[in-house]
Amino acid sequence: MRHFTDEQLMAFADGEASTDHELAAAVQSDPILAARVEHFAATRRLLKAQLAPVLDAPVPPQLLALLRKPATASVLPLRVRPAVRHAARRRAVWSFALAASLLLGVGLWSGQLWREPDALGSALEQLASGDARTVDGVEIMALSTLVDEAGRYCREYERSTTAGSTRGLACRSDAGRWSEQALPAIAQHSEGGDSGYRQAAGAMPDAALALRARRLTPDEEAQRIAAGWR
Amino acid sequence: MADAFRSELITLLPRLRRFALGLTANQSDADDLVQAACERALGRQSQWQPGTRLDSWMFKITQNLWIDRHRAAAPIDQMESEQLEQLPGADWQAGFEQHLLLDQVLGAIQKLPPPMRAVLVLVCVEDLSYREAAELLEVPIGTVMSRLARARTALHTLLGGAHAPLH
Repeated sequence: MRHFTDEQLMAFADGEASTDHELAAAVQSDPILAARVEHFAATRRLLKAQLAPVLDAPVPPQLLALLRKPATASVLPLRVRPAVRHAARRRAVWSFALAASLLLGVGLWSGQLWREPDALGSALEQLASGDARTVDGVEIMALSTLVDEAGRYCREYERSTTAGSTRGLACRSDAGRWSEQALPAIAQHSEGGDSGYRQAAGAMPDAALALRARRLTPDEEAQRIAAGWR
Repeated sequence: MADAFRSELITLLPRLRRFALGLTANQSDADDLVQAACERALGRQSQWQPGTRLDSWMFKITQNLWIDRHRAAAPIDQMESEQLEQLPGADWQAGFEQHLLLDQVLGAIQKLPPPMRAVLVLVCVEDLSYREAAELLEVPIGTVMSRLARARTALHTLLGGAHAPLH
């Protein structure tokens, strides 16, 4: 009786050994072999099932923003690369200067934006995350929608000109007015910190954490927009 | 055309995220890896032949990027190939625990040496044939089969072996 290797049994489980009739017959008649074949099949099913939810999950806004940028743009969205990893734990390194410059950036150009008082508001009122609109040479792209514990809606967005891009956050009042927010004190954490705070890749401090809000799924967001944010 | 390339990349994002999750074993690192791969793809757009498979091209870029990064710092709980061989033999009669959580599966993946993870996801999740995986990873088909078998055996032991009844 031929001895069958794990690789042969695996190939059989994966449909890659269809011409090996001796193997097929052996698997049919030997429960131990059949069980080993089944376990290769089971690992395949398990991996597929466990990883499948990623396919339906909302794509992070920074990924969409990177790919939706017009080809002529000179600046890629800011992204902080995580520093060298320690053991099983990952931490992003934030510099205070970077965080501060983001805050300043929001403050500086927001004043400029108010010369077009409704441009930002109407954009955030209507745009789905990942979509953009250009007003007077300024492109506004909505990135995400969040809702806080009080039911207040906020949106992350990016504003681009040929000079570059900046990110911002605006929240909607009950009356329908979107106004810019500076985030509360940004959590600073470094390699040595033990807050355990884990920063997802992205230029901004995590608005969801800072605002104690959660991000809406694309479906939820579409409903809000269609319902006029009521 | 730049727009067609970008929109095809956008369509691929969910599969790229899934592939990257299988490599990195956590979603945050996975998204970071996908972003880096997309940036590289945009920079190398002229090297991609329209009409060829963009997904294979992107998987390759992602895998190579990850291998480069992973060489820089490996997690402490990752096992060397030799250690995997020494795990107690899998009980082939036992099944997987019914309600495995994603975290457990990712934790097990994280213990696998990096070269095993790409074959695992490409064959078992993306449904590539052994030959297609071998071409994409630029290794012999025998290497694909060997890594794949050892990876799946190890996964079974890490996830189900602990619950197997004693012989």
